[in-house]
Amino acid sequence: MGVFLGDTARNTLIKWTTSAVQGGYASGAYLSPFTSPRLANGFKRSAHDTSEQIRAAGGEFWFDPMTYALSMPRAGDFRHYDTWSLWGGVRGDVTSRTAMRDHIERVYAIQRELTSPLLAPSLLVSYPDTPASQRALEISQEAVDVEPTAWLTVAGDQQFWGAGAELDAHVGALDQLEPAGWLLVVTRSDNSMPPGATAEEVYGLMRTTFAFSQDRPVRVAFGDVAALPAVAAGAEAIGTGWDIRQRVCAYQDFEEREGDQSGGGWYQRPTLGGLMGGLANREYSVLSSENAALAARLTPGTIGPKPEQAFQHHASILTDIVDELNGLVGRDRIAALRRRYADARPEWQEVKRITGAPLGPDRWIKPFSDGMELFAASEGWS
Amino acid sequence: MTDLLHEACSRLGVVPARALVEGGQKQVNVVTHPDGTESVLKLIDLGMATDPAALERARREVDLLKSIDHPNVVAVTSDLQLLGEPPVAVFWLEQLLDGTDLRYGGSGWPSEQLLTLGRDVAAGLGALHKKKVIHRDLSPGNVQRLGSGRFVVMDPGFAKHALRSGLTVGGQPGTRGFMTPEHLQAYSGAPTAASDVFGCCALVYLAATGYSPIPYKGDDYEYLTRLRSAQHILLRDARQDLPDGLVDVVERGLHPQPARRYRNGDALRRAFDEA
Repeated sequence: MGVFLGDTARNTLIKWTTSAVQGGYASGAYLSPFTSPRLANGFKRSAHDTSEQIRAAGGEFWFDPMTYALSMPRAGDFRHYDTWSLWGGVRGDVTSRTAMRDHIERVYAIQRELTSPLLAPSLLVSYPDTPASQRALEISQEAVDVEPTAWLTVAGDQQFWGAGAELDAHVGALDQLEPAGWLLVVTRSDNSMPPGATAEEVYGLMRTTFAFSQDRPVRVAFGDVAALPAVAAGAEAIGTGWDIRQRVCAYQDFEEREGDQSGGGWYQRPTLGGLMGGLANREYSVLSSENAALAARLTPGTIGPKPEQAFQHHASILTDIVDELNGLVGRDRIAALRRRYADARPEWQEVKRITGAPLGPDRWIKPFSDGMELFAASEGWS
Repeated sequence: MTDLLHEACSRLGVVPARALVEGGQKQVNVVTHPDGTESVLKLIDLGMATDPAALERARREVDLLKSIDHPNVVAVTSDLQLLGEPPVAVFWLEQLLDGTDLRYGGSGWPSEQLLTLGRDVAAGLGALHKKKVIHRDLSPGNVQRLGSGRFVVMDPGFAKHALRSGLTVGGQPGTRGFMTPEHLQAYSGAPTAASDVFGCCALVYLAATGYSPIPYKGDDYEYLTRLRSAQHILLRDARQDLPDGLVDVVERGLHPQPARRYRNGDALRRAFDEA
């Protein structure tokens, strides 16, 4: 376990996931009803074919219902979603136990049909001591009552994950449900990269991960580089991909839109392991031409010119870090990530001087490192 | 309340013998059955605003408790019954226990007795948790030490459903000095089985040191502020003579994050067994 792929609006999920699984830089993929149709539509293959081919390549295939996305502000992109028949009544209606159960059973039926592990629907929570959080707890309770071997998702915005004692109490109630595993999601109000994370949010995600991972596997969907502190706290895997939509769970990506976006150039931005962050393509070109040795040391590895090669490098960097942390336990995981941040931070000075990159360690490292240090202090591991 | 007591006794066919707790919202009396045996009658004044749904939950919970036959849980021997229309009080019968509760237990207990206390209370909680009953109000007055040395958990589950807000300083009813951080939550973070684990370990801590881990000092706001973080003097600092195994179990049970504690009474009992 290390890195898994989120769904993509492009039609590359099967091919690139298969290559990633066989190349050892991803373990599988999560299909989303917001992003892919149930049946083939001329652009994308069917969910059934996607499952079969990824599993045939040795990868994991999951159907993630992402019910929490329905409560995002301005959620409105239901072109694929409504092909899945996930609701017997009004889409998103969980006002009764009967409606909850109907949705849960429909999700499980699809997962069984697609040979996916069971991953229960869940609701988005913005503050963990409200009627909405109570409803989120109830649907999770209902989901494990229907199928105790299901995984549960905990989806919350930055305020949720930064909520301190209220978060811990909510998580404590969820912990009583004893699912097969946990999928955690941080939702965001924009899709900037790196995400505009706060130390408190990172600390909350780490506390939760550490608690859950004592006797259950924990993964962080989307996540990408922002979830590395959660891996240090015990998560076994994080989500990523070649689109920004696979790396950040942002509200704007679930808004109504005209047609699928097949282009976009962000996915080719290189991620440099030695910086614990990324550069724009132009910045990386300048760095490579001005100081090739430094670029090679910080990259490391080869970043090919094609999008899939850029993704392969990015996923390989993440896999290397996650694998290193997964080989350690407890405070050693924290120490290992701390070393990586500490080594990367001073490198930025020269890189910024050469490239003029506007983003630096204040965005790529500081909030994550600060959150990790809050966690370390709370465990007496400073 | 006196009229209510006599009406309750009349309904049950028992005679009041002596009062154990008088006044206030809750009245506890020893009553005598026609065959001469004794029971405890508990009577709670519901006041003016009775929530029918809460009453129904309380009735279901009493039904569940009646089905629990465990040496570390007080036996409930009657259905929950209502007085008045609309109801103004509820009452039920429990077994009469000998001995005294932990308010009179002193402090500085040796480790063997602390382990027995922890094991017994955890075992009782485990029996409740298997039935999905959360005690929610473990306090020294709710654990009895019998003459035999066995400990018995009393008053499980009733506080949330039957009592008015007199004991509430946070989001949930509880006893000051023995609440958990989850008692401050009103919705999804409300007390769970892991909160009872905290309560059990707080009682072991009390018996070891003479004070609760998060003592109440007379100021609600100040108390709630400390309760929120659950910071306390570590047991190993308060009692340096205790074995590490016992101290570790108690400290894990007192963790501020409920998901970091033992998940329920059975898990805690196993930990005390192995300590």
